[in-house]
Amino acid sequence: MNISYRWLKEFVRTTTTPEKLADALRVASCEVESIESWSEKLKGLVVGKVLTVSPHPNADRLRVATVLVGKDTKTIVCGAPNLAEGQTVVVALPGVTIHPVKGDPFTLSESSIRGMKSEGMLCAAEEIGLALPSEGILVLDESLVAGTDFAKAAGLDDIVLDLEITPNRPDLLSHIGIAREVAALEKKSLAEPALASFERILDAAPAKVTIDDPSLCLRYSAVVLEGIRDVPSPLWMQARLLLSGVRPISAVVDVTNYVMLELGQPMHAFDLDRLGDTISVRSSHRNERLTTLDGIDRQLESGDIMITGQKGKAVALAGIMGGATTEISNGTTRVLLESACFAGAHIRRTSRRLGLRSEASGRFEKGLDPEQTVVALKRAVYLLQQVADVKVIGGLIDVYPANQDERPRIHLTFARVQQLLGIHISAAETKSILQHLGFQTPSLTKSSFDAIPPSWRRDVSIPEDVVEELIRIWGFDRLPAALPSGVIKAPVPNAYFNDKRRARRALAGAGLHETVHLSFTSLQTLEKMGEPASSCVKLDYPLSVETEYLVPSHLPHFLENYAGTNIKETTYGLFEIGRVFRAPHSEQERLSLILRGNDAEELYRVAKTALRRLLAALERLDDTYELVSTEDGPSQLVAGSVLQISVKGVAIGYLGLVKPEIISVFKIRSGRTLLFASLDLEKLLATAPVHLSYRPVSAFPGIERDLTVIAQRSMPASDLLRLIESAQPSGIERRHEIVGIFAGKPLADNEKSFTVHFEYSCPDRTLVDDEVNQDQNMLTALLTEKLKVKVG
Amino acid sequence: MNPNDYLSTIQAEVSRRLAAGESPDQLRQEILGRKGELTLILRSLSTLPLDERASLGQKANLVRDSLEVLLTAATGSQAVSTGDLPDITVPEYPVEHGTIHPISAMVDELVAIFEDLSFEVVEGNEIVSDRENFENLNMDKDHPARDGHDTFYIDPTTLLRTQTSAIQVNEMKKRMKTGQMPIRIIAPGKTYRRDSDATHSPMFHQLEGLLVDTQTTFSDLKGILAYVAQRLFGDDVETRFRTHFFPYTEPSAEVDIRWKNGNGEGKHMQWIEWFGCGMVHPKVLERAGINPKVYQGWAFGIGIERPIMVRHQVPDMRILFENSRHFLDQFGQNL
Repeated sequence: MNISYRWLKEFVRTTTTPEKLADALRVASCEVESIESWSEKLKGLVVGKVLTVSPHPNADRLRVATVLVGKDTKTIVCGAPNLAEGQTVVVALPGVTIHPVKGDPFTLSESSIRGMKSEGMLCAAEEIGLALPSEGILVLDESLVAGTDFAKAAGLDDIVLDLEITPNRPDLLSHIGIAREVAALEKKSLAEPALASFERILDAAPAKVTIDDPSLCLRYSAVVLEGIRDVPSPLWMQARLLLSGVRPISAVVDVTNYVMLELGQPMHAFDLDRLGDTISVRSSHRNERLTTLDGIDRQLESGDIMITGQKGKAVALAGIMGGATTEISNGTTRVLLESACFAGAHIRRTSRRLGLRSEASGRFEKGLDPEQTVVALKRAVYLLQQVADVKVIGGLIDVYPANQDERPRIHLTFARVQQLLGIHISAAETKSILQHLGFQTPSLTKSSFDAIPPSWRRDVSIPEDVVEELIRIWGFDRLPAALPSGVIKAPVPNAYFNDKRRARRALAGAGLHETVHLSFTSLQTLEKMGEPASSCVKLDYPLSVETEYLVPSHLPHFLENYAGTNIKETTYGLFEIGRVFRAPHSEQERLSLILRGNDAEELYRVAKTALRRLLAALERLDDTYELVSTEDGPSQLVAGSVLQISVKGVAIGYLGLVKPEIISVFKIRSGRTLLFASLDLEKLLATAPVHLSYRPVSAFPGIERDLTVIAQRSMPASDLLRLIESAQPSGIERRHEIVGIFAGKPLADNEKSFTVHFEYSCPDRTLVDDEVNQDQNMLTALLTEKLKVKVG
Repeated sequence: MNPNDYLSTIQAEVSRRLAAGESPDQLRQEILGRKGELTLILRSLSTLPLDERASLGQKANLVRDSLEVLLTAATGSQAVSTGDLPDITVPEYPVEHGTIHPISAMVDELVAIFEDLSFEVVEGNEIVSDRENFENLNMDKDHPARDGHDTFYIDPTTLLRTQTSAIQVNEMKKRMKTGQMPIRIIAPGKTYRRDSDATHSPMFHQLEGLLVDTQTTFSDLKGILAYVAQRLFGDDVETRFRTHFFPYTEPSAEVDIRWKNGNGEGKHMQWIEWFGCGMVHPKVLERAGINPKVYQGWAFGIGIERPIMVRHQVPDMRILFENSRHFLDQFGQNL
């Protein structure tokens, strides 16, 4: 909503600068997006008269004009098709900076265009920042005097505040609404707009209006005017429309728009001779169609509010856009001026369905004030009478089924105000604030009051609403910063959430990088993954095809991430904790990780290390932790490469190698071995954490030994570990781990070696070498025999 | 010199001779060696009368231990002083730790602040019903405020939550029913809106806060949020409330922050918009089965991306979700 500073001051005599005003409004009323000084923007532009127009000697499309600018005459080359002798135009002389609607401002200099000197530029509306469609230069009213300052002459030397109004405050979509806020903030009085006076004269009007369904239309007021001529509106009015971003068209249309911007009430002018004298408001019939003012034929649905004319034929889409058949034209002499209050929900639904939004629909859909329709009509007639010699025929047409607007009476105690805000606002202040905002405050005592909101404040219905009015005008900045004083319960920790925090730290500590990807994916990506789209969640109205589905797994984002980088490191790993989604609308929180490299076995070792760190950090690492080869991993992983992860007998996830064909289709070029693991976090964290019980620590020294086992390449490490496990010594304790795996020279090509480290101990005595040697010899014999390995 | 005198003076004598540059090894040999002075004294103890033997023996042992320490330390320092230095400029091993995403780090930081204020953490689903996301929050089907929530629908009644406030009514209902009043909760999580530009991402994060008690005021809300802003951004930060509209709070406000002294490291002296808050609307309390005549409360929904962008001067929100290695590598400080 653009607010003209000068227009605003017609209603409230503020002396506050626009900047200070914006600061105050921003805190108390609505967001101020920008403050624009049009005097600055149009600085230096002058009014010119085109004296002569002649062809450009060297260019067919250009012409050369001599333009009177004050006492001087300038020669200006111009390409506009509408250039003609006698026109009053906007001239930018060298040195002037112009601010086009699109693009950066630029400063003009004297130039030569195709060999002709040009001493300036004739401006189109868009070139000087006026958002008007133009097919050439801006042609001004001929009454403007050549050489005068354009901004001043055209009434554009104003400052415009661009406000963003929240949907609860349609009353602020008007100059008077903003003026009322300023009046309340500055404790000033509000001026009323000048109105024409005419009353309702029963049955005297030349048109009859009926409302079929009062739930669609709270009130329909209208007046018939004759003596309409196709004249432009006065310059000052055009200027204000322009500053509001509305295009001036003709006096009648301009006045309806002016009143909307001034009072917030949308209006529509019908050509009465084309409309007929029987008007009705009803819901649309099924399959009904209407061609709106913009020339588009529209399919209507039940619930759309229609204005009908002769024979019940639809002539306008109420509150949104008029119809083409009853549009006023240059031949129009009699109009019916409509000022109605339509049901906001219906307007909103229709306007959204048709994708048709207008200044009017944007106001109606927020719920307007039925008490304003007649005021707006009187204001419009007043303005039209100033502009053109129009006459009201018959008097006011006013159909108001409810006949009056029931205003709530809201009771409040000052104790309650204090209970909500934590501060005391005095009775005098309360009265002043509310009355400035148009509220009545009957029954005001030291301890309580009633508040009756004005008809335009339909958003105020409960005590809390009134409290908000008080605090925002009284001043948020005066509100002290306190701290809650209530009872504090012992907080219940969220173990699941805390475990996620620990998981992140463990995995980052293990060298992995956490990612947070958008939850969206595309059909194309799902196809690359071999995921049937039907099993995934599809959005109704996505931002783009790239974001049409919700991810069923973390894998595709990881793959896309890798495809975008060219990292050579063998173990550049990522992890993510987040929800994945499945049709129809289920979600599951998973923790997934991926490692990239060239050596698959190395990736398994790194992944298993990371998993151990993770489980240890989550206190879920005990003897029940198991990795078992499984056939039923996800289809994206290489068959036979998948290990199922389980804890306490519960399968909680898997890890395995990503299929080479998937890696190819995601165009990952280097580091083409990928290991993916994914865990069902909720399942994992639902298992009981490990309980740590103290075991006596042996006071006697242990003995350490290493064995090197040279095996065939094809022998899995698990064979070795399982066999060692199976042959425990008696009477002494033995722990073992593989501390090295090696392949290459001096070993044969088909060989590899494992270095196994052993620790022997005994809780109650010192070990002797003999018993350890005995066990080592036993193991050597066992391994050699069962696994056909060389042991050294 | 009698043994007693010897024991009393030998420590000082050794110190002096060490300081004078004598070799500790040689001194050790001379005093503690097989035929060393102190060794001989210890051996001669058996010839002494019993009472003398005990006291002198104790003393001799003590002195021997002390001299060991003295000579050992001297041996070490001598090695260094003779110029046999390690290269102390050797580099550390390449750091192999990973990183935590700045969004998680910011959530953790905020959660820690609110935990200090006795708030409990809850989490909700990202796919929710129209009722949870809108109707429970006082936004009926045709409410114009829905326009501000460009919603991703999955079907006519199911959608991706546009705000973490979608958890409010469910949580309040549960806690009221099970007698867990008053309520102090926060709910961090992902939220979604159809919007994408430098300051909007179709997926973003919020941290919902909700306090419901028999007495808690708008001033309390202001105080808590001012505290949170200072914990997060430093004591130099000011907060202000600015009027706004949310159908589920009344009165409502938006919270802006600015720095009293800007220094260019993301410390803005202009007000910057951060998030919305307000007193819980009585209708929302009623929806949760809570009597608004007995209880009142306040709620807020802190945007997570904004403070990250401000603090680390990230120019475009979408960068946070690209997860490029070079971006992630910059956040390895908070493990």
